[in-house]
Amino acid sequence: MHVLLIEDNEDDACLIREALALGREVGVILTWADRLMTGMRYLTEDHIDAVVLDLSLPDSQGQATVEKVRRHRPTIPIVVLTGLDDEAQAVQAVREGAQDYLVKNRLDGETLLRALRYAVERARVENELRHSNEQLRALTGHLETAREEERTRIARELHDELGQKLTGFKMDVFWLTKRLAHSEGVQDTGPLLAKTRVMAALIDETIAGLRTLISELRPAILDHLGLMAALEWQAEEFQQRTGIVCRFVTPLQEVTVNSTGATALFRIVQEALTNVVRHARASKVVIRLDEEGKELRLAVEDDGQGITEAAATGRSSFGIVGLRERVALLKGRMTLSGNPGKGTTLTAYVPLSKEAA
Amino acid sequence: MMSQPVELLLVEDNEDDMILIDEAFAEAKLMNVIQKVRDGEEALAYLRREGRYKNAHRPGLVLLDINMPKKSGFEVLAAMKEDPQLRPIPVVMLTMSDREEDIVRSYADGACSYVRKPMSVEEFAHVVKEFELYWTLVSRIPVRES
Repeated sequence: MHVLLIEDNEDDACLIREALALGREVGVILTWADRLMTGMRYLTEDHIDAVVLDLSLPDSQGQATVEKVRRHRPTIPIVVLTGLDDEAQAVQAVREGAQDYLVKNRLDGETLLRALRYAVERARVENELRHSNEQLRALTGHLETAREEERTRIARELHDELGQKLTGFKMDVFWLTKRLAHSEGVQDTGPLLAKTRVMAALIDETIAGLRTLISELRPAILDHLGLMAALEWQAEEFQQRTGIVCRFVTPLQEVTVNSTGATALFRIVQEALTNVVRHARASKVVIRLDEEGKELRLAVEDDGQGITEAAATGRSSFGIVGLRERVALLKGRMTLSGNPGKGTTLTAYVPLSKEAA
Repeated sequence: MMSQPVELLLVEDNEDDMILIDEAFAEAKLMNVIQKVRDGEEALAYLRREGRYKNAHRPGLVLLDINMPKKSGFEVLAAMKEDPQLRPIPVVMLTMSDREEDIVRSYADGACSYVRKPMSVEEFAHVVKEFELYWTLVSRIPVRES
């Protein structure tokens, strides 16, 4: 293990060197730097496993010292050295990302060695965890894309195959009805005509059902006319379906977001509207889309009973976790706030992309 | 949703049949644009926007005669249903007879329906109206351009 000590006080440095002397037998190598700048150079050039860091250096003081090292090498384990009188600062440093802290006057070799070993181990586990989180997020994104593609494919298949066949079928039944109505050879066409009329009505019903199914799977309006038109349509459709007044309000003429972004934002609105129906007891919902600086702001506001703090931050609600994940995939952030008896507002902020939907 | 006039493509080699269809179309007072080609090869060139058809619009409905020189209606139908770009376009076959094997094959190969020639005005208008409704199934825009 190669340890870098950044410490300007020579006495303290000697103390550490002595304390680590017993570590030499187990392969601990110590490099000493008396300035942060020098230490940073070692961090760049050498393979360092851990840093023992004094917070008060001639060229850097306090939390900024930890921040600078972490900015330079985000994953390096840091053990902070502190005097008796500034333990509070050391605790703060741990919150800021240092692995551990040691009080100089209470230092002995065994404690230091153990602290370093734990620091390295903890940093390794943290990095693995971060890496695994990143992988999971990438996987979620991939699954989401795959799901969306699959839905589009099925919607297209239903339209092209079933839709065409049903239309043809309806025409044929219509033809049959006409023929029966004007036929003279067939006796008692009444029951036959009744049958064909029932068939025609049934086909109409099936086509209507198919239409609903297709637009639920993937609203074509999103692909053809973009996010704004799709949200407008969604608001209308939601109001018709649920009886809850729904408005789409935007000062924008067009929105700069690529098609993946448009799909994600559209699904966020759908998910938020589902939550309104399930939990909010609202009578009105407003969907707002706006640009603020370099961000796109999407808000869904209802006038219902208001989400509780616990529900809004809860880990158990897959709906909300899913919403946060969708927003995170767009490199955005989401807030969810409830006001008891006054309603709930969900707001997503997403960076604007240059490509238009 | 409102339906809007779809563009029609008529694939027919027989001059007399063409005239009868033209008359029916005129009499039905439809708003639709009707394009005509004379054989199967030309039909596919038109649909694929090849050569002189490079600015052609993709039609919302194809009326396809079965018996044609060069490529038969069945061959055109099969080629259309194999092409992901053309597959969404509904095809109605035009037949001279009620030959059952022709009809069975039309449906099996993916045609939506068939119509016996000559087509009545009423029949013509009905076919067009139904397929305009079909296009409103998911969208106001007839064919996905790509």
